[in-house]
Amino acid sequence: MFNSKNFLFFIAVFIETIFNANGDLFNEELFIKPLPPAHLYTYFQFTTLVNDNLSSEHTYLAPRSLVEVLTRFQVDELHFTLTEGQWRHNHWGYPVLDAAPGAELYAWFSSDVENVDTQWKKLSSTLAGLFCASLNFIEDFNTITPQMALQPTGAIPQNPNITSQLRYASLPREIVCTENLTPWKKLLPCESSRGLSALLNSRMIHNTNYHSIGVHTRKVCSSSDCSVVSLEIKQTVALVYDSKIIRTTDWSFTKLFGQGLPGGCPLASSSKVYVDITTNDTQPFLLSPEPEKVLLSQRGGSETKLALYTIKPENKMTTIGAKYISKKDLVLMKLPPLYFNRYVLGYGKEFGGIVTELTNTFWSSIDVVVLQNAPWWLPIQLSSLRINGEASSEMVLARHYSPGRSRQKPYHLELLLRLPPKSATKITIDFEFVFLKWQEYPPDANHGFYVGSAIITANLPTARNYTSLPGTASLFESSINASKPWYPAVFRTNGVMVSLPTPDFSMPYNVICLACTVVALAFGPLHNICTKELVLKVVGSSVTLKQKIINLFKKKKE
Amino acid sequence: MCAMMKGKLIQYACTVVLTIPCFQAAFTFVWPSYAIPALQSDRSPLGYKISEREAGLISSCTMLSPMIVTMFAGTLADVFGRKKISVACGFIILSSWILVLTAKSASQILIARLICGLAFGCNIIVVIMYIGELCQTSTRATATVIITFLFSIGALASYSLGWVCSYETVCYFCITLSVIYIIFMFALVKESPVFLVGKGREKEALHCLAFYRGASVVTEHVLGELSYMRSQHNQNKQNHPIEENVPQYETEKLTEEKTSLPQEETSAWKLLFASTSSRRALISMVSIMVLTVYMGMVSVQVYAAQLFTKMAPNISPDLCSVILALVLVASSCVGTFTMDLFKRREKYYDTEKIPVPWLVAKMSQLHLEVYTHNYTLNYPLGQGQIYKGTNVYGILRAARTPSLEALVVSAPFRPLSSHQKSTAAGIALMLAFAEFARPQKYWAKDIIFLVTEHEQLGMQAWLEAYHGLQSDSETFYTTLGSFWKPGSFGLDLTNFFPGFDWLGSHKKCLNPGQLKARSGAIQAAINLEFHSPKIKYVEVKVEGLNGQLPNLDLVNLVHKLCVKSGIHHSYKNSYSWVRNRNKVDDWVNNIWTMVGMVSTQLAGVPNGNHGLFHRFGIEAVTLEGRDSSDGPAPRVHSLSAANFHRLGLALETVLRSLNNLLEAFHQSYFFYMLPATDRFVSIGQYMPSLCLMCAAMLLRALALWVGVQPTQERSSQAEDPVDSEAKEPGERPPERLSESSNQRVHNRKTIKEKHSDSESEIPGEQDVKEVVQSSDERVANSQTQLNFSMVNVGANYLLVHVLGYAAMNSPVLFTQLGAKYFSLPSEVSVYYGLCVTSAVLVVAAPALPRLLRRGALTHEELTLVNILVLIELSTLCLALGMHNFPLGLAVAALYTPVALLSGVVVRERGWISVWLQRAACAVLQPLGALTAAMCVYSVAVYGGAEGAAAAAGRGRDAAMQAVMFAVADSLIYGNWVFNVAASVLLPVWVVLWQIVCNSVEGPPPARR
Repeated sequence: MFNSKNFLFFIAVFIETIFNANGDLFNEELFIKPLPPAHLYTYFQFTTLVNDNLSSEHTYLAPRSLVEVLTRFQVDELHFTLTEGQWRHNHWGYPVLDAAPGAELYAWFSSDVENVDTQWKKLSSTLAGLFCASLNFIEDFNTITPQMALQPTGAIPQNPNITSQLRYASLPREIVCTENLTPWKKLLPCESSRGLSALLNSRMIHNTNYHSIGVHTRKVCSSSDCSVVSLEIKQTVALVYDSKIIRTTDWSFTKLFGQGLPGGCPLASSSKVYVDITTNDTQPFLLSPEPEKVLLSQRGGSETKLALYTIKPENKMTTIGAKYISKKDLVLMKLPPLYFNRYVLGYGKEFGGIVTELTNTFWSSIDVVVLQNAPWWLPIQLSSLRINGEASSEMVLARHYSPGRSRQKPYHLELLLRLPPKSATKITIDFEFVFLKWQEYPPDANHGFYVGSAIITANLPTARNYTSLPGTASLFESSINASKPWYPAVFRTNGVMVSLPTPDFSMPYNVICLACTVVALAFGPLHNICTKELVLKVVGSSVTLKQKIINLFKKKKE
Repeated sequence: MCAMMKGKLIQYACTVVLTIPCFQAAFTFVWPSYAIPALQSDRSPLGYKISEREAGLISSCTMLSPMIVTMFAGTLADVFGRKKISVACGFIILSSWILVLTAKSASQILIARLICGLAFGCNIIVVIMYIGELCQTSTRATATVIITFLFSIGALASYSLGWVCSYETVCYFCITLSVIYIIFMFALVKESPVFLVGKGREKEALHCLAFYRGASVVTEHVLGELSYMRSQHNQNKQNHPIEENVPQYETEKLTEEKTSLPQEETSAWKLLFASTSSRRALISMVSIMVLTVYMGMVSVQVYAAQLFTKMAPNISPDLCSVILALVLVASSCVGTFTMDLFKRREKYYDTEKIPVPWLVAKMSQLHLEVYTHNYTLNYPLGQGQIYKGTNVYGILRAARTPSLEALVVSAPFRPLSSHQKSTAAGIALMLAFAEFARPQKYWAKDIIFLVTEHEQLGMQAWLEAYHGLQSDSETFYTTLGSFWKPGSFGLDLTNFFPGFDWLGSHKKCLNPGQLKARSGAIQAAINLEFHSPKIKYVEVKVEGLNGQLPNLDLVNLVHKLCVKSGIHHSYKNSYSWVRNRNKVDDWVNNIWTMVGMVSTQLAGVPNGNHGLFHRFGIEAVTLEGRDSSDGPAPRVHSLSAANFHRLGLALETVLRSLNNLLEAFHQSYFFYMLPATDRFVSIGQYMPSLCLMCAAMLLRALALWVGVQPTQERSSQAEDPVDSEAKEPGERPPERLSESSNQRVHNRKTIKEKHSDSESEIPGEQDVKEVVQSSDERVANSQTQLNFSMVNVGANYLLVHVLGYAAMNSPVLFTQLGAKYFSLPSEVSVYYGLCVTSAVLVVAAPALPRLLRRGALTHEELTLVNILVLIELSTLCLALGMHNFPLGLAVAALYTPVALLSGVVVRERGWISVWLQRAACAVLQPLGALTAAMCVYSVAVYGGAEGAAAAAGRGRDAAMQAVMFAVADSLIYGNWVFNVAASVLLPVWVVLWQIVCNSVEGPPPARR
């Protein structure tokens, strides 16, 4: 009974896909990579390519709600991520797509848009509703326009003024939860009933060490001369599991996601699972079931072995897993060519500094753009910028600084640096503490104030630890054997927290108590005066003993 | 370093001397190989051919006697001492060779060889023991190898001498060697320190140990080793089962067992079998011995010549034996070098250093992020000593957080030779907890597990590095904690005095180095000091640097969670398990607890590593494990011992509570005093006591001020001798300056008031009525009167404070001078330098105010100074009290009476009160008071036993140490007790001293 229903559904779906052969394309991919010694990286990527002329009235596989937003606000490219945790670059290598802790949103608006700031405000508010995230807190005072750090990845007509159409904001305090995942899943054609998205079980996802969900839309060329562009919507989930927390190094879908894979999404043109088995040489494990194919990818001097599974929609429940043969615990990871660290200097409430340390372990120099963005209540002054302790450095090739304005604009500093080979560079900038108005303090004011991550854009000369897709490609499979002269990457450092001078918020309580006491004390006499009758006393009446004593004092006083 | 090299040389030399008998033993063992043929030959030295049976006996009897004597050798050595037995052996060997030389019959040779064997058997046991005891662990391996090496060399020498020399020559050679041995034994070698410790002759033991370590004087290192020996000795006595998880002792036991196997008593035998490690060692030793003997090595050596004659008739048997010996030598050489190459496990059990690789490995196995941190201390008060240290820390990264907040669990590492109790159990607890915590998913804050070296120094370095305080910044107190910015202003004295090293005082001596990774802002820290998992109770230590305290919430949290986890806890004299029925007892107990806290806070020295966190706004406490042996805690024996499980539970609950903190500790309970674990006295209750004392001084200042006023008023009415005297100095340049400025003030007033414009006019000459009419004018005039003396007073006041500031910065200078010209240790030079400074100040200071001016001092001037000094002292006390209440209270309690008593001395007054004032003031000279207090204390404590003079000397040493510690703490950690004492308290005292020592003309007689 059930089966026949299912079958009918499939038939219907197939018919639909056949009829829309020139319509949208949907691909789902899952990439699994062990990060020795103790972590496992899983990366889901759902790519929808809208081949048609974009219209917000009718969509096939693309989520209408999102497409509507994009067309309405004339967004050319949009990147939105919600992340919990911190990607540890020096231990885990590089992710496919990096994301800043908390919420991060940036978008390029079409060049037709004149008032970018209003559109930006509207866009963020709409997305806030769409993803149940507090993006409505994006205001002018936490929005910046990066000059060098971010470049559009899609097909946007070359425009010297392209950065003026860009807006960037991050909310490091945003906490990501199930309520964000559910609307995100609704955007997928199969939602969470079939396909790889069925694995995204919120109970298991929020037990990971790091999780990040994202929506990335851009325009891609659909013709060779790029006269026709189409929309690409890419939804991603990155998860890092900790084998110590899940209490076993062996993994399988059941262990990671709480259930097996019920088959691919019937609407997808392909459903593929890639497992990075490069570490199999050092830490041997057995995959079950056996992979269909083992792909060897040579990219930028490093070799990667990928086991490939193709999931068919009609597949039964499948579970892919790995069993480690030997329990060799200690594995030395090769450091990635570039890693970084960010921290706060100083203590007390007078002033402090933020340090960004960049380490280049490669044998040639690497060009990076470092974007530091400090909220208005944390004034960073360009005069205090030091690179390796020196005010002027030959490493700086270009510099952009835009000072903040109180309650209006954040501080924004971008540096284009050429990191010498095999070197560590320390960028220090001092900040002052600012007193806020008492209503501007967040709840739990003594918790500290979050400062967003810095963005680091690099052109890496090597693909060691590099897993990202090539710029123009949409699917993961195109990253196999994709050697390029360099490999662009955008990274986020860790955020930092500073504790601003905070008033004692229990003080109002004290004041109320005090004021009430005073009022109460004053009330008695006033009440007495107002209610009691004043009676004149006859002069010359007999004086009591008490009166005598009082008189005695009176005289003395005079 | 030099001492170490020297020590090693001495140890090797002694080893070589001590192993001469071994050399001779081998010599003697193989002697029959060539002697028997000689004796059996026709030209036998005995004069007759010995029989085959006699030959066999002569060959084997040397092996026979050691069998008996080894049973007693250990006991003998323990009773008579290693050296005596060794010397006795030397004499026996000597006599046996003389017997051999003079032998006329085979039986004489037989006897000689029997007693010779006795000596060898005895000696081989004693020598191994002896060498094991006198060598430090790093040389011990090589030294033991020297024994076997010389043994094989002995065989070689014997074969080759037997080959080339005659029978008699060989004997003479051995006799000479024995004599040399005996001479060296007397001249060079000293008794084993372990034996002396065992005999309770510790003073001698100390000298011997110092000799063997190459130290000319007894150093701390030597002391530490001695205390270790003592503890080992006690442990042996008490027959404690050896902990099996302490790898450090294992190798030591190996050597020990080899030697002391027969001598140990029955309980020692038990001990041998009780621990797995010693059992293993015993089995391997016995099997190696059995294998060696049954291999037939001995018989081959003894009968070498005969064997080779039969086996290889073509080659000279002597040559063959020499080759055999050479092979033996070569193999023992290989042994020596491989032994040195592998170093055994020396790394962990010998050095004072923190076992970095072990800790790193352990933490990485737990999947923590592990890093090491190196730091350097350029000791400011020495001859440029540099100390280096390493900390190890592992970060547990909490899941789903971007490392914004962190908690710290730390434990100091203490080497085995440390005076203080080891913290091995604390480190074990920390690692066990790390293993437990790593797989938990509930952590919202990173946890940093930190093992520091060199106690507080390591912690300070780590914290400074964590907060980015760099070494090129200035000292902590000159910058008041703000970190250095390049290009910021700094006082550089080298510009003014080139060629002289002022550097020490203005360069930070602690170079904290760089951290390779960090976590976020540290919220709280727990420091663990557990010497054993079987503790009876936990002492919660709170007092930090400069008397800072952690937030009371944390302290309460720790106490409450200890109760929850079933661990007894205490604070000073207040014990959680002691409940008094008697209220009075409770009261007394509470008072003693509070006094304990006050006395700990007073010096401003943290009583644990937690104390250094407070300055960085991090709340921290130390949990110290205690059992009945430390401190006279009542009824502690009846407590059940806590175990690791319960301690872990307590630690987990504490950290989980801290993990759940939404906000940093911020409620205002940073100022409190604890009379019990569950009670506190808040700042609002204890501050009034201090305020009242300061109020008394302020009131007196006010009274003096009021007292000065009428004289001025009256002086404007009629001329006084004092007035005219005050006017006279108006002609001098400084006065003129001030006068002109006063005139300006005056000017304004006069213009405003439209009074007389004669500026040079002296107020006294003005009409009485006018003055009465214009009150403003009068005030201006009286100010003018006071201000006339203000310059003198101010100059003196300023000069005294500058001197105080100089005294604050002087210790580094004193150290350098002392080391350069008198080669004194720095504490002596600092102390006596400060003494000299004080003495100079005592003598010279009273004259200062007179020197700075011509003419006599006036009563008003001194009164003004008195007012100023009272205000300064009360401000000082209040400010100190706000930071470190006990210190403020102590200063106030000491100096308030004197400050109130001492006033301006008027010539006509009685001399008794004057001298009383002077005496009271003199007693309170800061350095003098410190020394006196220390002397009195030590006379009270040790006076009976050592005599008052010796005890006073001890007190002076204590004062010296105290000053030294205060100076070093101020330079390294930023403890400001010394700075405040030198730069504020000393000037205040000097000014008071000036006031009581200068007598002036009394105030104008007519006083209404």
